[in-house]
Amino acid sequence: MNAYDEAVRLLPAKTAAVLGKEYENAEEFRLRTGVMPTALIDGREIVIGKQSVTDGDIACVVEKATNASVHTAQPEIAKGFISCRGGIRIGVCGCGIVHSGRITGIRDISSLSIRIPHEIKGCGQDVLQTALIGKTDNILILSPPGGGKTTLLRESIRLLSLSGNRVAVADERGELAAVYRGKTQFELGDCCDVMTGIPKAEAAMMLLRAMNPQTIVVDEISSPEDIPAAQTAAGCGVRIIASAHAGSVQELEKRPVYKQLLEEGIFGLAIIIENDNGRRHYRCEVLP
Amino acid sequence: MSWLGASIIVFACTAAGLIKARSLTQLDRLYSGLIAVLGIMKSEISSRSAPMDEIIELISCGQVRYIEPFTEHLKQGLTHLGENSFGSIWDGAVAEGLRGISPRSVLALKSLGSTLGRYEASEQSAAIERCITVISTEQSQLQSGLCANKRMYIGIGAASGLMLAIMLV
Repeated sequence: MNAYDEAVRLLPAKTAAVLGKEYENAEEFRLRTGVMPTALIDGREIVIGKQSVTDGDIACVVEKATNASVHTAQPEIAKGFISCRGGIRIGVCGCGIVHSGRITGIRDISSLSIRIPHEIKGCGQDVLQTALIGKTDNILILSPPGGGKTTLLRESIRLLSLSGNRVAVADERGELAAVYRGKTQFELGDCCDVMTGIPKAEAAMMLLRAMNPQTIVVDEISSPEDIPAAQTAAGCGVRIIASAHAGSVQELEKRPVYKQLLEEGIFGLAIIIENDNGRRHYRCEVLP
Repeated sequence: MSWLGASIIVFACTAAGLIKARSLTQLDRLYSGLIAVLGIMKSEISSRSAPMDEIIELISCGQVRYIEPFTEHLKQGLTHLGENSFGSIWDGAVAEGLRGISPRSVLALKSLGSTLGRYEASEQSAAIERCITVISTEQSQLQSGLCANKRMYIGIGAASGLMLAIMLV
């Protein structure tokens, strides 16, 4: 079953029944209580059918998505999402449950966003072959939000893993590997180990100590707590590949976390993703 | 021949009494199996947050006796999750797989079914514990009169058989 079929399976029966071929390129299905369900296609929300979403529909989708096991999905729900088969991720909106300042769950769920992944194998092949194979530089992948960093990072993992490089992935939010019941939902090659659901700094340290990686991949080094892990990996001779929200190296240098990493020379190469009227271009830049 | 017929009647009625008595023993074991299964569910949910399909697979592989029809119904029902809610799958399994348990037990299990898989682990554990308490109480009541009731049914069977045989002979 492909990701689209899996997403349709999750929908309420009355919504799934009216889907036609025109929805097969949908990036997301959105369900909001009291409102008509929609599909996100080419950046626009298109209404599906003629029946609005009810509380029961939301409960039904959550039950299907968690396989009647909200208790298992609770840590993810507390972070606002549910991971499903096929790499599907459901964004959850509702009323947060907070205990002692910590979010422990979400109740009265009012809207769901069923995101359908589109694995793009072979993206950025030229630049990845140049930057990855036979090189040892630590790499940062840069683009603004929604620019394709995670997709390119995933492709990097796959290429390195296929070449026999032992790749360890600190996949805190489950977006890189989309592990579901212990299996990665994306093809990442045979030499890949994934730690999911753990803060990336801790995950990176655990992977360094226990999995003897040659490369560590993290999605977005974003907080000061992540710096020691990057420093330790670099000090151990393990290659790091990470992504960052930035349109250019100049923009990156303005962010304190990256300023420190760049000053220490942790990263040697940047792959910048540029969007030109919907087409993505990739270029390498040596970091100062 | 009439003595043969009378013997058959006595034997048949006594056998009916024995079957009824045996059914009480089986009901006691069914309660024990059900409590064991609920205990496993509670442990798996509270310690491992294991998903429901894994728990049901574990229970059915564990071969807890007398509970197989119930777990088999649950396993089959889970393949249709989405078409049916888990609550209705659970209720169906209770109705089909746990025949003979008391109405209070059925009510407790249905109440549990409306909770399972919908809330966080601690709440589900508490709900399972409440259900176990009710079922344990029902089992205790059954056990307190088990020996006497078994003798009664065997005696009624035998006595009915004798009376019938005497009347007919």
